[in-house]
Amino acid sequence: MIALQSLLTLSAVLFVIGVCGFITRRNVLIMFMSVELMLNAANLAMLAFARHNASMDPQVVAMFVMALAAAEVAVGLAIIVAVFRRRGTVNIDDLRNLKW
Amino acid sequence: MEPLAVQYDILRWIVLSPLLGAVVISLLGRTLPRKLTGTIASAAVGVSFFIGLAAFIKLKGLAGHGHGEQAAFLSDTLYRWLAVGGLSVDVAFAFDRLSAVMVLVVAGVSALIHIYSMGYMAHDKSYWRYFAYLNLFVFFMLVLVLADNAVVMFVGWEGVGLCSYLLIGFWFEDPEKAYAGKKAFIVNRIGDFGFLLGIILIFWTLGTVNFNEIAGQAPAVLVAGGSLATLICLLLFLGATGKSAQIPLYVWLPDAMAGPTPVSALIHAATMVTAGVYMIVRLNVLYLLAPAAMCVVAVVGAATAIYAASIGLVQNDIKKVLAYSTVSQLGYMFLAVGVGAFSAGIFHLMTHAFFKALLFLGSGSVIHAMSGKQDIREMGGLKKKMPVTYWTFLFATLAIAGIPPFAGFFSKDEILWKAFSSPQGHWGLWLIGFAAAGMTAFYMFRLVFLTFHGQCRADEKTKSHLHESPYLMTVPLMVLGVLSVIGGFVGIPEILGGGNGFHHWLAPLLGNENGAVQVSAGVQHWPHAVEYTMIALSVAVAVAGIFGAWVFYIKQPEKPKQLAERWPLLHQLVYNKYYIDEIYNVFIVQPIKLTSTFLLWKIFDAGVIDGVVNLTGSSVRGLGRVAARLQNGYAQAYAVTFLIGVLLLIGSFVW
Amino acid sequence: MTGFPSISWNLLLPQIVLLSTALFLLLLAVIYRGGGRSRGATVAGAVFSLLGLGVAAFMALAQYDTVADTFGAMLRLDPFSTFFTLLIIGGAALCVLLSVREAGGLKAMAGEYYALLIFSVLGMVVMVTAADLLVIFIGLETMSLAVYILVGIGGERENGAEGSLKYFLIGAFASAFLIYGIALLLGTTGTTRLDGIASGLNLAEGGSLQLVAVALVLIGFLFKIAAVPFHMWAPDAYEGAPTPITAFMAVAVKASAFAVLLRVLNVSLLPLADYWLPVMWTLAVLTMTVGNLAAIFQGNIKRMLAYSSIAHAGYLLVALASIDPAAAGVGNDPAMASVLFYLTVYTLMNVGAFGVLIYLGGGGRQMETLEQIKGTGFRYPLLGVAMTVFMFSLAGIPPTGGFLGKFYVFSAAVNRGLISLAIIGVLNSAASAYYYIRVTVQMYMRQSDEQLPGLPFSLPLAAAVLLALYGVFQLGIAPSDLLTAADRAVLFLR
Repeated sequence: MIALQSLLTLSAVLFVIGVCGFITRRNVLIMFMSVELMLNAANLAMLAFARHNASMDPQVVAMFVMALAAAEVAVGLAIIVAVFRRRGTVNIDDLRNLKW
Repeated sequence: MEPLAVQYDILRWIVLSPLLGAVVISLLGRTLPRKLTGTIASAAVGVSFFIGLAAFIKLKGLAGHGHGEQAAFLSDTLYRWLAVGGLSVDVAFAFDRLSAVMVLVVAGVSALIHIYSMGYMAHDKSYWRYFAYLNLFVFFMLVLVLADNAVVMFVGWEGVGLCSYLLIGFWFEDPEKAYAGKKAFIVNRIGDFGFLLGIILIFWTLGTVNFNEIAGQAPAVLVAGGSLATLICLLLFLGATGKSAQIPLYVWLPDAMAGPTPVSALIHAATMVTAGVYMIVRLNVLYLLAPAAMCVVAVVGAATAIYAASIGLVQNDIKKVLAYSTVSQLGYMFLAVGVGAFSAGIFHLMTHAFFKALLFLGSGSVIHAMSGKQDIREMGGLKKKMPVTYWTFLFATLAIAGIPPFAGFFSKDEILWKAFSSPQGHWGLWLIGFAAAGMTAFYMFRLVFLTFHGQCRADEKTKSHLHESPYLMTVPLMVLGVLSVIGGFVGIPEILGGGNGFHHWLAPLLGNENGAVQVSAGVQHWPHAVEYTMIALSVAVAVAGIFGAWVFYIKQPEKPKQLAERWPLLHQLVYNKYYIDEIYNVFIVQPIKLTSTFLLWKIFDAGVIDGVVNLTGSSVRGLGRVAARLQNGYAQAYAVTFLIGVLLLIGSFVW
Repeated sequence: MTGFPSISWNLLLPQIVLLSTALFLLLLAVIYRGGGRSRGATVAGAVFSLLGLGVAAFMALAQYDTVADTFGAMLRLDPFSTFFTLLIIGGAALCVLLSVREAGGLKAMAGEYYALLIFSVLGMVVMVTAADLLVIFIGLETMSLAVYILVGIGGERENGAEGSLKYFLIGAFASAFLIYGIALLLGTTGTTRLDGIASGLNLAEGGSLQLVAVALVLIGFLFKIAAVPFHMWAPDAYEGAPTPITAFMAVAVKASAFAVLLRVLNVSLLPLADYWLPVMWTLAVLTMTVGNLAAIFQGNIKRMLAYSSIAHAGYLLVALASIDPAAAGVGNDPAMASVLFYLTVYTLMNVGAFGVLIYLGGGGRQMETLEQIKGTGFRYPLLGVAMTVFMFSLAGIPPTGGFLGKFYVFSAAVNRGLISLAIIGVLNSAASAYYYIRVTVQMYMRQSDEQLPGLPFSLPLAAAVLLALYGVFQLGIAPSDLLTAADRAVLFLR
C-alpha cells in the first residue's frame, strides 16, 4: 500500500514538470504535451484519493477529464495545423504579430 | 419638521419643454427654415420660463407663517427610477424657494441668449445643430436645479458637462477647439467623480439621497465637525471646483472660450459654472456640520477670486478677460458660501448671471462687429459706432465693479461684509476679497476704455465693417442691461433702508437660519458704524480701481505734460513723461504685470497647472505604454505572468 | 445502490433545443452544395441560429420561476441560472446578428460557424445551471473548445490562427490548474457538489491543501473573466478573432464565467470569505488599473475595447469584493445584484460598439484603428450618434445604463465600507473617459484623409445596433424591472 502522501507528491511533481515544460519549451507541440502532463497529474491525484477514500467519485471524474482531454487534443492539433499552414512554423516565439 | 410638499403636475414641463425642443430640432432641423428653428428653440425655453413664473406665483401663495409652510415646495414625481435594497430614487422635481430663483434665472437668461443667438449665429452652417445642443443644455440645467434628489441632480450635472463639451467644440474643424472641448470634458470628469463619491457616501450614511430628507436627517446622524461629514463635503466640493472652475480645476474655463460667444455667456458665465455654488447651498446643512470643509471652501474661493482677478489684469483677448473675471466672481460666491452666507452666494450668482451674461453678449456684439477679432489692442473708439452695446456694456461693468446702485454692488458688498462679520468669517478673507474687488474694477474698466474709448486701432478693412448689431442681438442686451441696474434691489441690506428680501426669501431653507444646525461660535453684533465703513471702503476701492484704469488708459498720455506746465521744477526733476512712466512702470505697473504675467499666468497657470495636467496626462500615457508593452506577444511570457499570479494567489491564501 | 437518477427532461428543454439547433446547423453544409460557403447558407445559418436561440429563450422564460434540481442534483434550475441563461442567449443572438455579413466573408462553412457558436452557448448554459464542479468543468470546456476554433475560423485572416493558438495554449494551461484544483478539492472534501464543498471545508483538518485547491479552482474562473494577471491572452485573442466573435467573447464568455464565479463563491466558498474577499479587492484594483492604462495606449479600436473589457471585469470584481458574507440567507445583497445588472448593460453597450465597428467596415474599407475612423461621424450620422452613446455608456455617463451600472457597483462597495476601493474605481472610471472620448473625437472632430465610401445597408446589423441603443437607454432611464429581476435572482444563490 503506497501512502496517499507519496502519490500526491508524485502528482505534484508531475504537475510542476508540466508547468516547467510549458514555459520553457518553444515548440508548440511540446508545450501542448506539457499541458497533457499537467492534466494527467490531476488524474493521478484523483485516483490516489479514490483509493484512499475508497470512493468511486474521483474515478468517474478522471474518466471525464480523459474524455475532455481527448477533445482538447483534437481541437488543439487542428489549430496547430492551421498555424503551420499559415506561418510555416510551430515555434511559439515566431508568433508575435499580436502584441501590445 | 417636514416641509409641506404640494403636488404640482405642470412642473415637469419646465424641464420637458426644452427637451422637446431639442428633439424636434434634431429630427426636423435640417429641413426647417432657419428662422423657424431659432424660434422653436427660443419658444421652448420661453415656455419653461413662464411655467416657472406660474410656479413661483403659486409658491408665493403658499408661504404662511410656520416654518413648515415657509419651506413649502411644489413637487412633481414622474416615476420611481431605482429601488434596490435600501436605495430608492425617484425621478422627481421639487420647486422650492431656492430652485425658484434658479429656474427663473436659468430659464430667463437662457431665453434671452437664445434670442440673441438667432442673430449671432444667423450665418453659421450648422445653425440647427447649435440650437439642438443649446436646448439640450437648458434641459439638463433645469434638471440639475429642479432635481429633488442628488442622483437626478447628478444626471443634470453630467448632462450640462456633456453639452458644454459639444458646444465648446462646436466649430469642430479647428483642432484647437476640439482640444479645448476635450480638456473641459476630462477636467470636469475628475470633479464629477468627486461629486459621485460624495453622493454615494451620503447615501451610505443617511440612507437617502433626497434633499429634504438629507436636510432633515443630517443633523441627527452626522457628528458635527466629524471626519465623515468633512469627507463628504470635501468630495462634493471637489465636484464643485470642477464644474465651477475653482482652483485647482479651473484650467478648462479660459480654454472653453473657444466656443461661440453666446455659449460662453450661457454656460460659462450665467448657468452651468454656477452649479457648484447651487449644489453647496442646496446641501448647506451638510456643510454647516463640517466647519473644516467650509473653511476650505472659503479659502479656495478667496484664493481663486484674487488669483483669477490678477490674471485678468494682463489679458488682451476680450473673452479671456471675461473668462478670468468669471472665475474670479465664482470665487466670490464660494467665499460667500464658505463663510455661511449662503443667501449672499445665491444673490451674487443671480446678479452675476445678469451682468456677466450681458458682458459676454456685449463682447459677442463687439466681436461680431470686429469681423471676429478678439484682441482689445486692436479695438478702441467703438463707443460711437455701437451705442447700445457700449451703454449696456458700461452698465454691466459698473455692476461688476460694485458701484451703487448697480446690481453687483449689493451682492458683492454683502459677501464682503459677511466674509468679515459672520462667525465663520475672518478679516483676512475680507482683505483678499477687498483687494480682488479693486482689481476687478481696474481690469474691467481697462477693458471698457481700450475697447470703446480712445482712437480706433483696427485696420481699415475691419473699420469699414464696424456696425451696431441687429435688433435680435441688441434687445436681449437692453433687457439684461435693465436687470444689471435693478437686479440688486431685491436684496438691499437693512442698514441701507432695504428689507434684504432676498435673504429672508431663502432663509427657511438654510440650516443656520432656520435653526436646523446650531453654529457653535456666537454671532457677534457689530456696530452700524463698522458696516457703514465697510460699505464705504468697498465703494472706495471700486472707484479707485476705475480711477486707476482711467489714469493708465485714458489720461496718461496728457498727464505728464500738465504736470510739467504746472510745476516746472518738478518737470526738471522728472525730466519727461517717460520718467513718470518709468516710476509707474517700475513701482506699479511692472510689479503687477510681472507678478501676474510671469509668476501667476506664465509660470503658475501656463507652467505649473498646465504642466501638472499635461504631466498627469503624459505619465498616465507612459504607464499605459508600460502596461501595454508587458503584453509583448510571447505566449510564454503570458504563461509566466499567469504563473506569478498563481503563486501570489496561493501564497495569499496559505499565509 | 440508487438506480439511475431520475431526470426531468422538461427542465432541460433550453439545453436540448440548443443542442438540436447546433447539430442541425452542422447539416447545413450537406444541404447547401458547395460546402455551405454561399450567401444562402450564411443567411440560413443565421436564421436557424436565431430560431434556435429564440425557442431556447422562450423555454427558459417559461420556467423563469421554477426552482428545481435535476440530474441527481448536478444541475440546478433557479431564477439565477435562468437570468444568466437568458442573458447569454440574448447576447449570443445579438452576436449572430452581427455575424451575418462577416461570416459570409470568412470563407468558412456557415454551418460550422453558427454550429460552433451555438455549441459554445450550450456550454455556457450548462455552466450557469451547474451545481457541481465537474459539470461546470464540462460546460466550461464545451464553451472554450468551440470558442478556440471560432477565434481562428476562416484560415485566410492574417492573425486569426495566432490569436486562436495563444488563447488555446493559455486556456489549456489554465484548465489544467482548474482540474488540479478540482481534484484536490474532491479529495479533501469528498465531493464536487457545490453545496457539499461548503460543508466539507475543514481548515483544521484539510489545512493548506484545501486552500491551495480553492485557489486553483478560482484561478480557472479568473482566467476566463480575464482578471489581471490572468488576462494576457485576452487582447491578442480579441484582436485576432473575427469582430462578431470578439463581441461574443467579451460579452457571453465573460457573463457565464462571472455567473459561475458568483455561484461558487456564494454556495461553496462562503466559509472562506475572509480569504477571498481581500483577493478580490486586490484583483479588482489591478484589473481596473491595468485594463484602463493599457487601453489609453491603443490605436486599434478592437484592441482598445479588449483592454476596456478587462477594465470592466475589474469594476465587476469591485462588486465581488463587496459581497457581504453576513447577508447570506438574510436578504438580498446589492453587491451581487449589481453584478447581474452591470453584466446586462455591459452586454448591450459592447455589442453596440462592436456592431458599429462592423457596420463601418462594410464599405470595403478597413475600419479598425483610430486613424481609419476619422471623420466618419458626419459621414454616417446615425452610426456616429450610436457609437457616441455606447462610448458614453462605457465611460459611465448618465443617463445611459453604463452610469447606473457603475453607480450601483460603487455604492455596493461604499455600502460595505470599502471607501478606498470605490475611490480607486471612480478614479479609474474618470481616466477611462479619456480613451472612450477619443473615439468620438476622431469620428467627429477630425477630417478623413480620403473620400469615405457609402455603406451598404445591413438589416441585421442595424437591428443589433438599434436594439443595443434602445437597451442602453432603457436601462439608464427605467431600469427598475431589471433591477427587480437581478435582486430576486441572487436570492437563490445561497
